[in-house]
Amino acid sequence: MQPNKHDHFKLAAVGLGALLVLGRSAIASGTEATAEISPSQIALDQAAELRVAGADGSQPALPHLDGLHFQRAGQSTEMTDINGAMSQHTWVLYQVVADRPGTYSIPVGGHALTLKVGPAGSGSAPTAIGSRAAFSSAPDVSARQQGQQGSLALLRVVFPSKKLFIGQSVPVTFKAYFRAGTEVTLSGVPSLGIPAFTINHMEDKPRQSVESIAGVPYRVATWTGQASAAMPGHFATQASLPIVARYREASQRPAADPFAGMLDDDDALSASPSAMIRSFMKQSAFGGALGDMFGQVREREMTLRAPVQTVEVLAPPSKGQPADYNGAVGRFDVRASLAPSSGAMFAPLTLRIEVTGQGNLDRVSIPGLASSPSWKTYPPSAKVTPEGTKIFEQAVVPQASGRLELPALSFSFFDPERNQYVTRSTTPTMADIAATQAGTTAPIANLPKISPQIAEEPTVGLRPNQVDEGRFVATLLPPYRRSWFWPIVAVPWLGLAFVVVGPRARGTSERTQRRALRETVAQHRTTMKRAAAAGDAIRFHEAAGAALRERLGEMWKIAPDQITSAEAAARMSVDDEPIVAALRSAERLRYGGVAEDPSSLATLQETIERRLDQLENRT
Amino acid sequence: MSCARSSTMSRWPNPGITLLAAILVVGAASPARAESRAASFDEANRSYSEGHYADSVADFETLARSHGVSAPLLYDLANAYAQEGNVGLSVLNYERAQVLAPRDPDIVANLDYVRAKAGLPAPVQPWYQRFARTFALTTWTLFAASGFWLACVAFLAGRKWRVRRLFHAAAFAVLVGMSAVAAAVVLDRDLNHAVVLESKTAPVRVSPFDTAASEVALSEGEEVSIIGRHGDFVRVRDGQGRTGWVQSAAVQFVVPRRS
Repeated sequence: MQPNKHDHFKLAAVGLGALLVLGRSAIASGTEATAEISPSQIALDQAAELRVAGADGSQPALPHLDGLHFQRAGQSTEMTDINGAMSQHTWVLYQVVADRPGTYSIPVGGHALTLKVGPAGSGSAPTAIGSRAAFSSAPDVSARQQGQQGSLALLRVVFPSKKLFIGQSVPVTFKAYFRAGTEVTLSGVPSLGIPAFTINHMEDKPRQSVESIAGVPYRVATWTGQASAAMPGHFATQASLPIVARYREASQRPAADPFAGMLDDDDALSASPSAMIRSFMKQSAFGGALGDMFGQVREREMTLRAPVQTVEVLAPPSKGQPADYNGAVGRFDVRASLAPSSGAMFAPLTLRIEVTGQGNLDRVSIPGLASSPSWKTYPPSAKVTPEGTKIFEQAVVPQASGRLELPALSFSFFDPERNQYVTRSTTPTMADIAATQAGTTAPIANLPKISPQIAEEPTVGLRPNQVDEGRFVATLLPPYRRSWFWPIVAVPWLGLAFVVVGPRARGTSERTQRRALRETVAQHRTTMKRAAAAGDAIRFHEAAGAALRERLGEMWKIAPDQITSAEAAARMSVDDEPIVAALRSAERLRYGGVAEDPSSLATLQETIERRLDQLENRT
Repeated sequence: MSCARSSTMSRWPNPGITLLAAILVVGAASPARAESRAASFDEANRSYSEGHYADSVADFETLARSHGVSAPLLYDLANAYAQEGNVGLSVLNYERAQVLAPRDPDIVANLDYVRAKAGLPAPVQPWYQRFARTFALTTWTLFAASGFWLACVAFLAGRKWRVRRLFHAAAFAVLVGMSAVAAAVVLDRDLNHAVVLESKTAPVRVSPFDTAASEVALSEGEEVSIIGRHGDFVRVRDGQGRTGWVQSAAVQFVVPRRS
């Protein structure tokens, strides 16, 4: 706990007097006496606390009841600040004990209080806040017994019972008393001093009041919480409260140590605690000597301790323990409801399970409804309301249509008062589930098919979530935008092109060459024909030689320019002599400028034309 | 040299053993990963069913980042956004869910509902777009690729063994592949748009500068086509044919341009 430095207890005698005056005037303005008794049920070996606030400042008389005894335990003044409006009540405290079991009616100030007293040893009532043992450590009594009347600071713990069960939640009250005039800062909240115990729901800021004990006014800080034991065994409480006391050091005035074990100094290596407290006491409360005014103001961290009490913690019995028992101790009720009570298939509904009662709600857990063919369920969530109700909410999704039943849920706990296990069950809940469109979720086997008419029904609002997670993909990118796709697609096409188109491409090249050769030869033949008709021997022989060289070059796979008449004579037979003669005439014309007789051109043209055709056929 | 090579080779385990070990590791990790994914999916749905829509959105987004996406996940995420009142991201995720499951009636219904509730016009789809939505874009793409593969194989087999029927089969496969390509192209053009994500209206400016005049505004969840880009601005065309420049952060493609 963080020290709350704002909680300074600066109660001076003057201020206290003013408060008391204000308290009396506030009470005087009241019109009716009030009285409270707590707890209302005790065992014979326990005590109850009776608080009485008299009307008009008067003190109501307590009746004489056979078997009951009232012992004044002090006076308490409570100041309440509600939205800035201060109110004050002064209570007179009595300790009530009984001689024998029974039910007593206590008439006080127009009220009739009821106190039930059970046999001795039966006191484990969870709401009990007082006991003789606890009251024996009340400041007035303990101080008197220990010779500490007039102590500056005291701590008292009110523990309800000496015997309780693991997990049982019982209220515990810490009261710190500070003598008027002390200047004390709380460094934290009180602790019980037993590791096996946990204290929950304890306020960070204590309730403040003023009590008069044996005629001495005390400022009282009160904390209440719920104590719960976690393990069995016998334990001794060592309640403590860290404080910071501020005082003036005046060592020249030795006096008796007023704390006598009620205050411990955390700093063992420092100066004597008793000397320090002695100084503290004298300066702040009872001092006043002029010499003290020149003393040094000192501040010390200390720990306030309460008298030891013993507590026995028992484990709940193993006999008769239900199978679904999970550690809850107390008295509880459970009920379940479905919201909404109707819905559609696959639309989530909320199953609400409420656990109310007395006990440690932290130990209350309900696993919820298990999944079934009709219901898909999710783990429930839990929360505790300020009113003390633990609420479990579980999402349940109907997997079928029609009137479906949510089965009853059972909850077991151990009742420490009856010393036995109790099992409570909820009532089964019915839900009207309408069918919804097909395809909403993965259909479940054995469920009826959804009719097309229903599938066409208009829907209102958003359709519910889909509970089947579906097939996951890494990205929404279509395959053709990913790098691996196109190589895979291209492979068969490339193969096809290699197998089919490749050879055809090669053939196309050869055909193109042939076509070009044919066109060249045709041009030469045309020139040759026109030259023969015109009697131009020079052009005739040039064209004839070029045409023949083109043909022979294709046939022999050499360049046409490299073909000579000698080359042709060496490669060709005698039958081809006209070709050789034509080439020779062309060479003579090209190199010697000698032309043939033009009169023979027509005959020569026919011969060469025929030979060219023969060469084309050969290739 | 030989010593170095043998030393290097001895340092690496057998490739076959390495591959087998890798397969075993991946195979062993997959069920646990799937179980974790299912648990996260259930948790997100539970938050949704309890009305904790922000938690549900966060859970679904985390799941998408770590495990990828599925149509139900995107649909559920869109539902959570819709419940939060985020129309833009809701429409975007419904449309993304439709990329994976274009015929899902839940997605269609909720997308129509969110659009109607936000006052957004429903896009008009001609018959060929509706036909293209018969299958997902990935399915069409795989149809096309498979068709061309089969066509090639059938053609080569028919050419080798001189079987006329194989040529017919190849022609049919080519036809199927071309049809699938056509459908994929139509669907790709249909999905090739962005959604306005601005929580308020996004101003459409006449030029790509913050100081430029704004003539019209786009609504959250509205579909736009992106037809240009300049700096931090994109040029968009809305359903009515109006064009202008908006901040690129204000719009998001339904199908991301790159992974």
